Amino acid sequence: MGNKRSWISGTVVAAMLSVSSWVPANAAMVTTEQMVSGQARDARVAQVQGFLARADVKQQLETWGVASELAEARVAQLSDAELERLAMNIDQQPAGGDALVVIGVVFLVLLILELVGVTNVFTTI
Amino acid sequence: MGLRTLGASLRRAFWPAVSFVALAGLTACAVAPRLEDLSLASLADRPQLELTQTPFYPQELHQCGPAALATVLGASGQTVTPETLADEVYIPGRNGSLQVELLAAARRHQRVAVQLAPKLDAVLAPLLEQRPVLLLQNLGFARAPRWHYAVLVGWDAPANELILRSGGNRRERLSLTRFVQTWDLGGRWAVVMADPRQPPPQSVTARDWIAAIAPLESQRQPDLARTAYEAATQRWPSETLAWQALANARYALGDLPGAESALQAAVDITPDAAALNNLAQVRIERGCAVAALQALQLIAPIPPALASTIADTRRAAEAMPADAGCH
Repeated sequence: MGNKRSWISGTVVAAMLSVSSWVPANAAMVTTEQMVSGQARDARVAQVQGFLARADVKQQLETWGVASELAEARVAQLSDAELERLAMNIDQQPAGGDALVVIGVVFLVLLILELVGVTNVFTTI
Repeated sequence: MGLRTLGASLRRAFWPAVSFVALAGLTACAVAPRLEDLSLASLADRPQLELTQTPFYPQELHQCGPAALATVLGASGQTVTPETLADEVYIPGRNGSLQVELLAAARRHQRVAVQLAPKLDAVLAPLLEQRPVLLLQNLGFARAPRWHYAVLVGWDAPANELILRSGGNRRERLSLTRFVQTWDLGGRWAVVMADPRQPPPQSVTARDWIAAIAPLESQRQPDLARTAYEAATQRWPSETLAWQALANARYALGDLPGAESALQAAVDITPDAAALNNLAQVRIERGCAVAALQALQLIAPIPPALASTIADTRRAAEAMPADAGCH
């Protein structure tokens, strides 16, 4: 993965540098997404990161059982800022689905202790 | 299966105790919120409100994301079935749907999901404009989350309850206390669907509207973005970001004079570095080297993140013949 990544990013950077040498016009506009993302970064770095994030997120969706062609279309719909948010911590993002959770006895006991005020397990973060 | 039955019977056995303790805890340490106490002025005039026309799609197992999204899209005039949306947002391996994918799917159907401020009155306000609100709840606990999307469609102030389309329930009545608990644990995430060709919802901020529209620019829908930004400059004429965004959409559509006038309006409000850089770039493309350099000279200080972009623009301006005529 590391090798693949550096190979891809090297190619992307090379492609971008060669493009920007003969079409400087488009490269110099600050985009609206950059303005609102709150994380103004170097535009070229952002483009490379966006490209890598797209590959990462697509792969993760496929791992989770999304068909390859659907995953492709889905990541194409995401903006750079959204991709970056996902690529950083897709595992931790809430996935709303109303999944059934079986509450264990230990958990219940802990919860009751917590609510009564004996312990303070759940408020440490 | 055995575990599940055990869990269910345990829950039945323990639930009265838990809810009793929970109730005691609540009354001891927090005052339960009341709808009547909210600052939303219209609550006094409309103690009860319900968007009964909002469609209802009972959710399939784990598919509250597609169902809730279909509900708010339908209410905004865009009928899409949860089955279609499942292909766009459902993740089998997670038994659910991610927030950003809901936003992206809305754009696929020519709507934008605009984020609401994480405050109770901001979430209720869109109902006054006939807009139901899509929100994320955590029906479990902080450490054992049970994420769920539901759609807020009404309130009942005398009963202190909210009304939601939720899961298999067409009209779930939830006490305000329980709602705030679950919404708090879900990170207070709530969005409202809007048609980018219509004026922005009353209760959203300029920044949130523009953030919702911006992805349309890079997804080959700059004409839709331009319309939405034009509406933004009318609603928030003193918001420099709205003018900058409008300029970018006009630029993407090849309207250089239009982009320049919008950027001029932006820098007249605030001499923002990004706006001045873009103004210089547009002037370069119109052949106005001197005016481009004038805009660049007004940038002070240069934000580090924009340094290389601004340097590129400056180089391009300096490389132009000084006598090039503006057009």
